[in-house]
Amino acid sequence: MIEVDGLVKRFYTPDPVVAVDHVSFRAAPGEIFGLLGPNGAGKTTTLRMLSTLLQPDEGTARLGGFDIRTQSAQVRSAIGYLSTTTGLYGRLTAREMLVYFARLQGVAEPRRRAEELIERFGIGDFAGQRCERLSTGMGQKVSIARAIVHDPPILIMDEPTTGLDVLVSQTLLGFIEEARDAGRCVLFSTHIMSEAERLCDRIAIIHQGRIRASGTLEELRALTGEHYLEQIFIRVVGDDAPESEAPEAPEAPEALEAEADGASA
Amino acid sequence: MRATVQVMWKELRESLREPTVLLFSVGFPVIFYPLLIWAALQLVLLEEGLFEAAPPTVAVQGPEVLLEAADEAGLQVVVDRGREAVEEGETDLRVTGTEAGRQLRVELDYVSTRNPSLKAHTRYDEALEVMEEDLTQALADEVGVSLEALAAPEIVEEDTAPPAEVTAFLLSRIIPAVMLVSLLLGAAYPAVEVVVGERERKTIETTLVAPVSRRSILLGKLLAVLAIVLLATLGNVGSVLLTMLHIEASFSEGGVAGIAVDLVDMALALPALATTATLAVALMILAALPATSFKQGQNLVSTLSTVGMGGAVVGMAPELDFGLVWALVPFANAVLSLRDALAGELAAAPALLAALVNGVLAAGVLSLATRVAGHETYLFGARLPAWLRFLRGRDAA
Repeated sequence: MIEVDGLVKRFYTPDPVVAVDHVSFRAAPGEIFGLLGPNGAGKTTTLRMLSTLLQPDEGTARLGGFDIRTQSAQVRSAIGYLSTTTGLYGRLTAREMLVYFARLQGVAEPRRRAEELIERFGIGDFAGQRCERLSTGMGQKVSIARAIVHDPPILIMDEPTTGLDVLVSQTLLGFIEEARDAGRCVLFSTHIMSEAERLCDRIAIIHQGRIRASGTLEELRALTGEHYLEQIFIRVVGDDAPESEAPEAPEAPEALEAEADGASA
Repeated sequence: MRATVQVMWKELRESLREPTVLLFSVGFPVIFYPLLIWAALQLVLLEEGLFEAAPPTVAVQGPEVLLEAADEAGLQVVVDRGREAVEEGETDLRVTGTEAGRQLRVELDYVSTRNPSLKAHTRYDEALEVMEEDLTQALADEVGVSLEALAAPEIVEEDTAPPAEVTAFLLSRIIPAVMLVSLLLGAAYPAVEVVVGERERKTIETTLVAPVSRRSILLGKLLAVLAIVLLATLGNVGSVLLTMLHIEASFSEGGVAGIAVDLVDMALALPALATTATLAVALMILAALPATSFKQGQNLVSTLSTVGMGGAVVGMAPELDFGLVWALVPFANAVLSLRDALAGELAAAPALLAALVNGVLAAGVLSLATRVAGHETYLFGARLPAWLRFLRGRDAA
């Protein structure tokens, strides 16, 4: 469903900085794949490349069988994207917002689809209100509905719980689990260990643009000898050490080193 | 004092690192304003050259000195065919000098609603002012009395234009400028809003992941701003029109004379107006694209509005002929098209050339804006072209 091969992205500030460095991984339908990393690790840049918002400098990826470089429109049809902000148009009502995105996505009956989602997410009482007047929780529900308005097989979520309170976060995490159970492939980035532990079927730890380790939680435990994800993360990443030093931790087992340095997940 | 100097250096350093400050305080005064003055001067010289190449005509009856005044005004003297020739546009100005006792009476027949006639009248009037002493001297010589014994010449100006045409002509001097100012002011805020506002609120990302091209998105934004602008301009022009008619009715004894507008001329002016609106909106969107904040966007766009309003000033100039040269100047060509259309004297060639020029420019600007907006740097600030990097500032590089 998601096949990522050697993605590289450089930014010029004006000196070149490698934001994403040969990142590769696979994610299957009915799976939640987590990108776990600190701020500035390259998670958002990776997700933006997969969403075709950014062009990779090297490497490529296929989502739902479509190449991000050559079939960007098809890729965008295949994904639902949720960013760190709700991305709601404040002066549109929730209903107008859903109809607008349904139309952009080419949904056959946009109004009917919008009503379906309004009912499904229980937002009927405030569907006629402008998005700027919605509470954070309500706004997040509208945002999720917007992301799946075209019923995409793949969901890409960039730190979707950032800034949300516990209750709203729980609703969102519940939705992600539902999406997985419905057979969608969910790619999910976070720096919150508990979320990754609870949700992700597989996790890739990304740091300084490179995937340092990946696997199921059990596999990562076995690789590092640590139990909690937080400890696993620290073991893999090191004390925020420079890139060349991080994977060289003496405790790091061979298997971990084999997957480090941007190797495939 | 030391602290003051420290603060001054800090403020200088920070201010001169702000691209908008550099643009307004250095770039414009050093480069742009001199260029603008130079361009304006070139146009004036060109206009003068065109006037000399095809001067308005004048028919003179009376003392020799009135012919000298025609020479002084740079007008072409033709045979007098009577006042009807002026009314029908065969002659631009008719000057009749008659002696009434010890005073010279100079009658100027012209049509204020026709540009060449108005121009001939203005120039001749100026020449008469310069030659007033010569006129009196000429009369003194003819009558054989001393200069002191004669009264100053009486100048009688007779505008032979019908009242309805005069109203339309007056409107033609005001409405085009109102139109351009409304257009430029009306477009500024929405243009910044749809480009920079959306980016600031971080909503653009969700739209860009929809399976539509960035060209379509930008075009949609442009059309939305265009619709707002057209609405604002029509509303503004309409209300100004009503106000002017009300004023005319209040001051005119015979009430409103009506407005004689040539619908064919108005239709001919429409393409130039429509393409000007499109060009203005496209330019503003392009100007707003590199802005890092709403405020910076407003600064960039308001500068553009100010420059564009130069066209409104041009439209107010009474002597300007709308020919093929002015048709090449964006904004001014729209004002002049509408001016001549309202005055019922719009020539097809410059009107169509203006539409073509504006249309080509609008397409070019839109294409450039699409390239800028389509570039990932518009959103995320990587690999910014040098000129955009300068405008957006280091933080967005």
